[in-house]
Amino acid sequence: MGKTIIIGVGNPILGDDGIGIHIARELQRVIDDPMVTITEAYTGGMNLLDMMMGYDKAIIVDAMVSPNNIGEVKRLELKELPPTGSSNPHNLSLIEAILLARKLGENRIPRSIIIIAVMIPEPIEFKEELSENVAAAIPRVVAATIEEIRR
Amino acid sequence: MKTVTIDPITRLEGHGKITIFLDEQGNVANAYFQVPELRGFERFVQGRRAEDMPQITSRICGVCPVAHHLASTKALDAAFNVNPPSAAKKLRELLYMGYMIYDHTLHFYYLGGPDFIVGPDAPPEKRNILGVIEKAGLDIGREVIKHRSYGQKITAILGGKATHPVCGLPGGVSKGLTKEEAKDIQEMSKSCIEFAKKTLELFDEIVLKNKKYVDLIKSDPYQLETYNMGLVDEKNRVNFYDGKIRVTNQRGEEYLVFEAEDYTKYIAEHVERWSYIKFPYLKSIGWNGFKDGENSGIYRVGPLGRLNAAEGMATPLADKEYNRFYETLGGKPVNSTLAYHWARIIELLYAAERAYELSRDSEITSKKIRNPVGEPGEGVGVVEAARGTLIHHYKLTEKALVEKANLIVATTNNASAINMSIRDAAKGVIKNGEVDDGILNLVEMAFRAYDPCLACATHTMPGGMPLEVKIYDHNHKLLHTLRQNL
Repeated sequence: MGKTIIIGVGNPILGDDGIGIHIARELQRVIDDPMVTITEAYTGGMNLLDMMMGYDKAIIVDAMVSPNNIGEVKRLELKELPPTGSSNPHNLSLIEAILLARKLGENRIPRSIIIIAVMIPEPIEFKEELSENVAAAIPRVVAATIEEIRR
Repeated sequence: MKTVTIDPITRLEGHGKITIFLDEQGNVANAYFQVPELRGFERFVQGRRAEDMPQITSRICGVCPVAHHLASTKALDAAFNVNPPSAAKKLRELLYMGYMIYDHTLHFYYLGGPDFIVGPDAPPEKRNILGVIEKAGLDIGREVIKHRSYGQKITAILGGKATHPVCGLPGGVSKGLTKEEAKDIQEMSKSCIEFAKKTLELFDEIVLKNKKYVDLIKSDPYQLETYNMGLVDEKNRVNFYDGKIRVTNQRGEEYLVFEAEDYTKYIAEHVERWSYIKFPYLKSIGWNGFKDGENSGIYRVGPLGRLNAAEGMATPLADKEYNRFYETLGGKPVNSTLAYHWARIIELLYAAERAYELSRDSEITSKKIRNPVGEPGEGVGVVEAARGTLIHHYKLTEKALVEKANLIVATTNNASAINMSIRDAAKGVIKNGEVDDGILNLVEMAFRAYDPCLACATHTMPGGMPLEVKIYDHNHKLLHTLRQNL
């Protein structure tokens, strides 16, 4: 097994959007493996790519806004992410960042990039707490992430 | 096609929205720019410890964490009645230059610039950084990646973390700079100066030498004669971190100069029932609707607003570019919205030059980086975020807890102008109901030039805030929808 990085993504003061951060903190408690790095990220795109450079495998844990199935956990490969447009006002999507890096001959991009997504409702309010259905998903997300490390 | 009632008040679901209404002839009657609301920030911060505010507010937005961090720290300086030591101010400013370098680079090459470098009528799938590289070459791509990351490294060295700094404290900073670190920053900023110069050459080559683009920049639909606002130093030169707020009029003359703490005397906010964003305007002129000109209190902030509100740049190369900017575009003020792009890269050059200066400053490695704070009270902090003037205003309790917080962010300051620019661009390019992707891009270009920050606190996949453009005919029938994952 090579080096793996787990990145919990989210905004810790925007309710359910912070689920990835909650998960990263939970994983810090339960995983003790020198080959596994666990970190938090508050921004996406290029910064995520910067973080995962040099690892063999990257697992991103993030929220995904969904009209239903709140709390459901999905495993996605990078190529399954929705393609993004060209005019993000502020950040490059992770896919664009990776395409760019490949084009420039970057060879430190992880061979495997997996996204573990938790379905959340549209965040509309600043708060630190998760909603009930999203909080209830934590053990399932942790289990899914641990399984992913072993995969 | 679906019939939808004209109702710009329709609840927004997580995306920014531009709604354009056409009249019977198929020409533009009006246009609205709306962004969703994130509720409860004031309540969220109430009762929190004042010194936590620079961290909390840096989480509001994934784009400008450094700007919020420093506006907040400066508001705390004022609220605790403490003046930081000179070295601490320089360290904060150097941190800030790192942010400006990466943020302006990102916007120019990845987000706004492709409109010009690749071309306004290029297919949408080419108008991105990959298209930029195709046109400008792989080497440019490598330079972009390298210098964006230099900006972030400078921020990380000073701020403790790459994107969300933790160094700002009332009265100073928590972390000084070693000689080695200063030397590293000096090397990086020197390289950033060369990069900014190259960027300006590229702009010259691709945009300014192309008559079609220059005509587009100068064309009527992209002109807006508003007041301009920005922070200036004691010589009225652009300053991102500190100074007085200066406002110039439509003839480029000084109209107002005031201290940050007096902002409520000069700025008021207008409310429209269709928008969650309030529209700030100059109190002394008043709100006269979405109009430009001297009788309308609407002003612009951000790179173009700053250049117009100042009399020059404080570093030699950027100042030379500043003068060339006005010579080329017909004197002061420049009112073309599309000139924001050029102004932005002039500021990139300034940020790099200023970082170089600060990294060589004999005081920058000083250990005297914090002064003791006074009693908690009320304070205002202002910085120039990449997108424009950012104001934080706190009232603290005797126990230094937050009693009240008010924030005016850059995109709010620009909200009226953005709205008008979209409307005018739409009026200029949509004729007889004919709309296609190319035309819509010309409308979006007016919007993108401002580099507006939608409620970007969310980082949920797929990664940002989508923008939707909807066009309705005079019978309120939806003609076109264009949706992009932004």
